[in-house]
Amino acid sequence: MNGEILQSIPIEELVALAREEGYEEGGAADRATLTEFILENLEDRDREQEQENSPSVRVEESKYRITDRAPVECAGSEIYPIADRYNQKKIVFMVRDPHWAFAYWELDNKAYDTNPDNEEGAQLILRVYEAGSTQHPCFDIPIQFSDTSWYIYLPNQDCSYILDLGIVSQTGYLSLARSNTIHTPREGSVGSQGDFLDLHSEFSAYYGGGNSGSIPQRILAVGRE
Amino acid sequence: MGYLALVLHWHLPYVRHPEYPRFLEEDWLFEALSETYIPLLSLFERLHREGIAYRITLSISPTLAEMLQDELLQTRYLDYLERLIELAGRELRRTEDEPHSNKLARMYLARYRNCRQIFRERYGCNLLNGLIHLERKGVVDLICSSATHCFLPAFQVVPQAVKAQVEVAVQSHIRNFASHPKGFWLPECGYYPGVEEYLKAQRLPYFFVETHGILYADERPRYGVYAPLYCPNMVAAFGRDPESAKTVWSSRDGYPGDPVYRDFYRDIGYDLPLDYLREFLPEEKIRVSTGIKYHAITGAGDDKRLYNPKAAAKKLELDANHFISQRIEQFSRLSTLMEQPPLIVCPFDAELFGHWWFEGPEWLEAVLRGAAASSAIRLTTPGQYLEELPRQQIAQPCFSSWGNKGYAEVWVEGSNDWIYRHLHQQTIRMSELAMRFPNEKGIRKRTVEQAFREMLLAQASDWAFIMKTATAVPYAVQRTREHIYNFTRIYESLMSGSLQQEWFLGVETRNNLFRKIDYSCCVT
Repeated sequence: MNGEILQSIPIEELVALAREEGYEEGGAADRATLTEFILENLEDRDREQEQENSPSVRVEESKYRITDRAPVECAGSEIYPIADRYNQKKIVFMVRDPHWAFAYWELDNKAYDTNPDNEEGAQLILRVYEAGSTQHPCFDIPIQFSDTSWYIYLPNQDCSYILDLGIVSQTGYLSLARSNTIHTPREGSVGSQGDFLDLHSEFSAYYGGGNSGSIPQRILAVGRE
Repeated sequence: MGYLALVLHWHLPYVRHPEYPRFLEEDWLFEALSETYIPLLSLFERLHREGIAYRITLSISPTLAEMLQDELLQTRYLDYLERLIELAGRELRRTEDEPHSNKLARMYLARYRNCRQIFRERYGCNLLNGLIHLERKGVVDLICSSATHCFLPAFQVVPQAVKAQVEVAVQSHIRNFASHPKGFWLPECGYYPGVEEYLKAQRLPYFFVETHGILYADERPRYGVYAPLYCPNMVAAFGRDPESAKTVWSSRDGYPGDPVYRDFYRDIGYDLPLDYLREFLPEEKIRVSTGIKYHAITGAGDDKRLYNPKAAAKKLELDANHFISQRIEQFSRLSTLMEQPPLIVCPFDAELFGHWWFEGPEWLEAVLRGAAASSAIRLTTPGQYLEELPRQQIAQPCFSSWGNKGYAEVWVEGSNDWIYRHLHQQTIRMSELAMRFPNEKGIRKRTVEQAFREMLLAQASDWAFIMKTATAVPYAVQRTREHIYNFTRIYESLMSGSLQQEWFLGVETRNNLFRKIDYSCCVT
């Protein structure tokens, strides 16, 4: 997540996100304050996570590590030129985690001839829908014609989403391409299931947490620091 | 009493460069052979010869299996060993006046000679022979992973890629091991709901997920991760036990970080003068790990004590006993909550044992001996467990992986997300080729087959992981670009009917895995 992405989120969601991150100040907070608060928190968490998890990464890295010196440079783009795009109109949506998804897209040559950035009042957007309600978009993200991918914050876990690449102009909305449907993963266990309740409660205690317990990491920190 | 299922996942990406006399990244395989694969096979055989009743599950990735039986890499491994034996011999002379280091040099010399003897004499240079033997004896269950270790959740949008990865993996496993794989290892434990359909189609009865893949299932798992779940299509999902993993890796009391164990980083490849090492180094100048390491972890900082193998051996016995007693205690706690014997599943990257944690294989041997001797522990494999306890809860596991933060973030992030537009596109194009050229013969058939190989090679999760973790980034980027480029060039040649044969033959010779490959699975 970066400031640019947070700028694109509706203010109510930004407030909700900040509260999730522990923002407790009363009164109306402005977008800049909330953004700064969220980013600081995320950076702290990333740092902690990195520290906690670095041994596991180091262990897997060790498979590919034969020198501690700068990696040997390889020929890449010169020997193996690859296309930037494939002259098609499409958008692809990929799950990353319960609240973030990645989208990439491209437009065909025809669309490039009519760059909407040059058209007065026209704005290229990503329009996010909850699947099943494509009449009512959740929110729009303004993008530039030169953009080709984006990380998108999705408010709900365990929920299906679809994405449109489209243009909003004075004449209305035009969808250029529609993505596949994705389903965000759960970030906790589901509600109790009848007679499973008692036993599961025991297991919750056993794991030391309930529904919103932290995700168990693959390999916890090794005391080598 | 409870069941303990130890699972070791053996994997390296396909790295083979006949176009160079020596290639740096081929050392990934050679180091793993000396430090992990040969020691593990030796210990499994030793236990079996001694009549120790153990069971273990080994996941052998198809790319690794293909490399293990490749004659060029086998020859190059022997050359690599010869260089190390020469270096260890030189170390014996250099350390004559330093008794402690001299003893360690002698230990390395003996190890490398032993590796050479086992590799050449016992396995005829092909470790698959050892694995097949162990499976036939009934102590080891062999399972496979996807063809090139593709992170499958990133390919949901092109399901024909997932289907192809699973089908090619199974065909390759059957050819390499003369048996059907007993189960499946989802690369990086990357699971998304629905992937089990492709496993079922290939008669793969189970797979593994990270802990929360089970805990966050669409119904609460009655016994947590201490029993498998059946997906709605009756393929079983086994979840990793967090408690035993923590016992091995916890920052406070994890085993491999103990100060007496051997340090991974200090290596004579960095410590000794370049002139002394020159002839052992790639291009006579690139400092690399040689594997000869004289220091113990000791503690933070660079001031390390010399390694003491006796002290380490004592500690690993203690650690193995601790692991066993913790599992017995865990079983007794779990038994009060469950109406069936609990199952603890412990999956590990095999390369942790020996490569990263030098004493790991001996620790594992002590654990297997201790567990086999204990009446409270029943060593099992998922296949055997399901035969004995076929009635299990049905629920749909949750999208998950064992990567950092538990979902797809390691493989879909700023450093590596550029690859997916190409990888998805070539999957779609591969389907086009498979439909347009269904029953070809001769050079055209070989050309479509090579396009398929290039598509699969580009999909390896290793490249995205390396880009993210910044280890050998230029190589990972080059490999990704190379396979996308090769694929695209073949695709365009086939579509236009003009193939540059000399170039094609070079590619076919270089990227030669899965010699018999059937691309009909790409038809959509």
